[in-house]
Amino acid sequence: MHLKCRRAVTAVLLFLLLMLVSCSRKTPQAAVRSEVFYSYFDTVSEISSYAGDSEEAFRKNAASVSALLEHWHRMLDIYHEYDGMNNLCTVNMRAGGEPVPVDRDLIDFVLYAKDMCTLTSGEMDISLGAVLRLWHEARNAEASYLPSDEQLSDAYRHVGFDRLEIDTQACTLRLSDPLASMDPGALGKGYAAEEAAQMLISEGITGYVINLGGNIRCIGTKADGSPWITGIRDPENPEKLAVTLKISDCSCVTSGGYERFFSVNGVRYAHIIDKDTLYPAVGFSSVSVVCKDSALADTLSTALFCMSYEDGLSLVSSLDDVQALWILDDGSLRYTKGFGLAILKT
Amino acid sequence: MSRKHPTLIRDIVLIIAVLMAGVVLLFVLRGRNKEGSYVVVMFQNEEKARYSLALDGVYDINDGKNVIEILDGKVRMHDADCPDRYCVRQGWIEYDGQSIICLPNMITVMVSGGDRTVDFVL
Repeated sequence: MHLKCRRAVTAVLLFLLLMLVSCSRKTPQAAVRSEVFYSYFDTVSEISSYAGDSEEAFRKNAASVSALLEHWHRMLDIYHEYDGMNNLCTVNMRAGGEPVPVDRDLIDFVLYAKDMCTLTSGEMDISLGAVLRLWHEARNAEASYLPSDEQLSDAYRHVGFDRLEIDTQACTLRLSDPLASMDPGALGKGYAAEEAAQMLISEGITGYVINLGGNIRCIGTKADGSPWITGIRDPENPEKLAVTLKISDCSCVTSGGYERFFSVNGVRYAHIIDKDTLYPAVGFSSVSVVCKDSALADTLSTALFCMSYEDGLSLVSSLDDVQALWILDDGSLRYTKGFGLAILKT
Repeated sequence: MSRKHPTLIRDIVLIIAVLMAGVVLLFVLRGRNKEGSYVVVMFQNEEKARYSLALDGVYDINDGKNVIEILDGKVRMHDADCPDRYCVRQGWIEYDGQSIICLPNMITVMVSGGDRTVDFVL
């Protein structure tokens, strides 16, 4: 080989070698800043900035998000009341009594919840409180037990939005049935996360992520324009990932029975109750929903977990820009086309 | 050796050697990922302790109230005094960025420092 040619080839080969060595799999850029909260919605929440903003700016934003999450945590709390406010606990406790004056935003929440109940044909229903309370007691007893069918069907007679009087003029809520109660658990986190995101967006903030107990809401992209990479656990082997996908400027919520569950006589029960059986939902190991609005994502992941795959797919297809993944009990995956496009690896 | 390519054999050996070195280096560097990883223990928002994921062991991270176990490059909450023990039931984690939370004790156990593969795990 001609000397010049040989040198050129060597140079090219060494260059390729260098490329080979330095081009490892693209690694996600770590959050520049992050703050964790332990007191909201009975779970851990985190706000992270990938925007490259200053410590001072971040702490200020984290503080406003914290205040907003605390506000919603209190508003939607059905186990405690708080001084100076009437929340859902108050409304539940005064069921059958006088209308309860509440803040405008609680009225908005309840109206939204009612719409979502209709959208999901009742599979996500905050008026299911009487039934959910039975399961809550059963789960948290010294020795977990299963409520009887009689108790459950009795409780189900006190379910339905027709029992909730919403007065948008006077800003009051009233449960006409003294044995009815509301439980916002299936929607609360998503709704609060979206409220927090909208607050940040209205201030022109981008590149932030709110993670409210696994309910992810990301705004924009990371500072370098890249998306976030989310892993969805394999329910059979939770230390492994079933899927990783790219997300940006949207929400991602997963419902499953592999984290919060309880056991009775060696059988595991999920914490999501199916209104058709009045028992914990079965059929899927987990369902994940990706769409812009966190409240919608939370609603749909709960509803889809309780619906057949065909019905769930039909619902998702009827909506704009909603993608979903179902992990069946046998470990197989079903997902919508858009979800498939976002997948990096299964 | 032919007159047109006096150093042909030497060139071929050089090319092969360079390519082989590249392949070997690639494997060596891939293996580096997990060795750089460690476990970060946080109480509220403050870092309390850090453990290498390479050192197997059982460690008390919270005055006996939370105990972690590191084994084969993974970590789990081995024991906890919280009422529901969700943290213990979460099992093993190994991916950079994954974490186990003990909510009542406000303890977070997170895998960090390695080659991050995901930003969030649901």
